[in-house]
Amino acid sequence: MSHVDRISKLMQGLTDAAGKVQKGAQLLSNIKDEDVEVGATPKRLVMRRDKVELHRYTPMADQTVGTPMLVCYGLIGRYTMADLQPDRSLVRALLAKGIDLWVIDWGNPSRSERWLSFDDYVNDYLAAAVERMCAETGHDKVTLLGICEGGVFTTCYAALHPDKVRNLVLTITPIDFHADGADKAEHHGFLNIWTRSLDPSDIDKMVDVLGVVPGEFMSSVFSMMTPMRSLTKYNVDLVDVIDDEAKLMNFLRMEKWLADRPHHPGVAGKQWLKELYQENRLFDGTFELDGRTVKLGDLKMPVLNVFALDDHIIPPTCSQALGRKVGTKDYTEIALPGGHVGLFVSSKSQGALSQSISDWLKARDS
Amino acid sequence: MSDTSKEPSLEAWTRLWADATSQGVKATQAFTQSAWPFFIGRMAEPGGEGVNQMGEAIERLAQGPRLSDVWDIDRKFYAAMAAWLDLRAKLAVYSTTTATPWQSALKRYSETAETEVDDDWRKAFGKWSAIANEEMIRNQRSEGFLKAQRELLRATLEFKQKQQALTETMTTFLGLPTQQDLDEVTRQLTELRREVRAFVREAKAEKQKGAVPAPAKPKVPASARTAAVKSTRSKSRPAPGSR
Repeated sequence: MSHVDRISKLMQGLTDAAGKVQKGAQLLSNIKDEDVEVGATPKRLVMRRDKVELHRYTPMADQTVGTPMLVCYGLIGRYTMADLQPDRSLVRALLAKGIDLWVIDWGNPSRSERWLSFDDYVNDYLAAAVERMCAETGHDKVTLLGICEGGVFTTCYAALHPDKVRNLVLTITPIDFHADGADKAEHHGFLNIWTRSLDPSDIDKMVDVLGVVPGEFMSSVFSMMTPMRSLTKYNVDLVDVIDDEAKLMNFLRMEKWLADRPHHPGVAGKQWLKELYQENRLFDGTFELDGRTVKLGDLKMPVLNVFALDDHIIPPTCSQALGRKVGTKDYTEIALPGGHVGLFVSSKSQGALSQSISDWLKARDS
Repeated sequence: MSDTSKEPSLEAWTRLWADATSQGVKATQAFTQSAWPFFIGRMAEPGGEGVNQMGEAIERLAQGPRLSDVWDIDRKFYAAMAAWLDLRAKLAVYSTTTATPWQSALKRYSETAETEVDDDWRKAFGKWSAIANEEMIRNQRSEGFLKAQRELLRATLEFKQKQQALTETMTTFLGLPTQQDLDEVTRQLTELRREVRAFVREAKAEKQKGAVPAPAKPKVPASARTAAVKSTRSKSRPAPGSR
């Protein structure tokens, strides 16, 4: 192609982009924040305990699995990732498969919650939620579905209170926080490396000065993990979606979820970063809650462990490590394509995750 | 100051106002002739040498001995200033560290652009983006970057801590609760709540233990029951002649 043709093509491309931006600006000017809904699947509030809420989703199909299931997210971000929009919602997909689904929302911790620990979240809030579910449904055990740090909560709860857990489903859950070294992908595991580069006293100081691990701080660390995507998402990448209303709304919903970054209570934050990320106590069998050691070998109920092959936040090797320590013979691993968040929200992964979980539960529902 | 106690009210107030104004003029003169303008001037010097020297000077002031009858807000102010100067220095080092991958990316991209020419700007940008991403991710894992980040985090927290100390001094002076006060209240509340909930759980568990039905008594044969009733009646009937 001649030099003139190249310049001509470049100018055409820039003109097309300018046209898209102009159309997109028109679209954006008509969209209000209330039009961008996330986590909109209907549910009702069953219990409130301090800032924590337990909700039960409205059924969408005849019940096919008897045991109720509790979705337990972590304290970094919110569970609404699993219910981003109607066509990208693990919640809706599981409801459509006839599962009695509940969710626990940790609320918006502030400096007032700085003294809450892992012990409180596992042995008080989660325990109270399970108790309430049993009381409401007449079941003596529930199924837990943990996501990321929520998976660590449910793992600890199931190990300490096995009499209350029928099945344990974990997704993108770190168990061995030092197994990132075994993951060869260079863009995986920055969080592990970064945390280990700090002194324990740095983490103590952060919590003592700020009271919490700020949501904005974690947000900036996550942005660092995908540097070019973070730099181009509001310019070059936005040009691709801005003139298409459906794609633009998808983008805005994702942004809304990303902007919703609650603070992580201080004491629980110290445990998460020091005892788990730095000292790897859960995998080493020395992690204690309320004076009791959490032993992965005490997980004797059926366990389904799902992880994402291109998860740069929780490297797959950190999740897979559970298989070496779990006490049950009924242990299943499912590796799905996609990233940490993509496992839940990408169009390619829709269906695969919910089908896997639903089939696995139905086979064990007696 | 003149003795206004015996003068009529309006004239006394006028004299007080005049005295206060002259005191204010003297204070302003003291400031303009003091070390502060010198500090500010040195810090604004290009090259940052002034900042380094001022930082050291301020550090010495902040770490000086404390006198019991002198309010130490100045020390706290100096400490916050020293922390801010240190934060600026650490930020400069961090910025230099994050600039490194861009230079590496540009070098790599220039080498590929010489051999491969893209007609589509998106393809060309995609190549640049992939190279820059790789270089930045590699840089993040380098010891230099991790050290710069760590130092920046520490400097930020140190500044925040010194800032908080200053704020607490002012809020105490104004009679308002400080952050430390609120933290202590929430700590006690959290511990109290834990104790209450543990107590409630124990009580519930005890109640559930107590609510467990007693094991069923073994069935007594009818003949044995009749014999028992007869025996009871004979014991309760008074002996003849005993009344």
